[in-house]
Amino acid sequence: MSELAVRLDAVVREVPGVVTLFAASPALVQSVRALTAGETPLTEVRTTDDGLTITVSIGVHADAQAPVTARLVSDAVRAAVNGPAEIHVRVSRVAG
Amino acid sequence: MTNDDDDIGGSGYSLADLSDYLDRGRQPAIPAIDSNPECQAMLASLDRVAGLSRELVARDAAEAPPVDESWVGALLSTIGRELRAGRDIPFAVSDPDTRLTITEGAVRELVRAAGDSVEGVLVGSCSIEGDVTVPGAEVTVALTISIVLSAPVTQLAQTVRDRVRSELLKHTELQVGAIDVTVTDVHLWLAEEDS
Repeated sequence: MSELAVRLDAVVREVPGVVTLFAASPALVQSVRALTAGETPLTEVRTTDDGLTITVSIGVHADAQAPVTARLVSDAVRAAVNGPAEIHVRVSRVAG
Repeated sequence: MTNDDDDIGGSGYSLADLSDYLDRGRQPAIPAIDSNPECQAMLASLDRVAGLSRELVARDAAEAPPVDESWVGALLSTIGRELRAGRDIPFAVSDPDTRLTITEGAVRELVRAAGDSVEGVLVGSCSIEGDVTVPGAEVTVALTISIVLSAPVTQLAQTVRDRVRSELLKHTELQVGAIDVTVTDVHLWLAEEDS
């Protein structure tokens, strides 16, 4: 799952309007050393009986529109995932 | 590191830690702060507050009683409380397996930044009343502001209202009703008044 999360981090960062990718869960930032080394993905991917549950937390540029950007991120994540997935895109900041 | 009350966004860093980090030019980089939206929002607010309060301190030193440090402390405490993520505010979706949201903290920061962008205005507190988790439900926004009297109060308040409404329309799908602006502090540019 970690490999997929790393890949999704890269996918989300490429979406127009996204300026920052935040840790989807504070628990993901437990190891500062791992984060510094770039080993900890910020997207959260969990496996459930029904498929994957993916949570992404983003910062959106003030010149973009948060709802539009969130939809673009959701589309990009779904396109990058094979199989059923519940996707939650959370806009955590809007900043210039 | 901090106790839970001081912890900004679960980062393990306090307001004082963030202030020091800002003073150091955010170097060396601290990933737990840089990857945390509440810390980033707090840093942006600290920057804006520092800018205006520096200006007020400089002017007041020459022209009026000094800015009360406890006022700045209370303001920063309010900002820290309001920037917490809070509730998830939904965007409309057609796919039941997709959930798109914006945090209440992000919206409050948006409102605060819109108000602070008006010259001579510093937002004190900001609240969003109504059930933001229900799409289509009307919400009201209440702000308190401190102003430097560079224009008529009603004009400054209306500009704040217009900018806040514009930002909320752009970045949320909230049905925004009234935007109530209350002026709580007025600072005068005495030298300019006299000229």
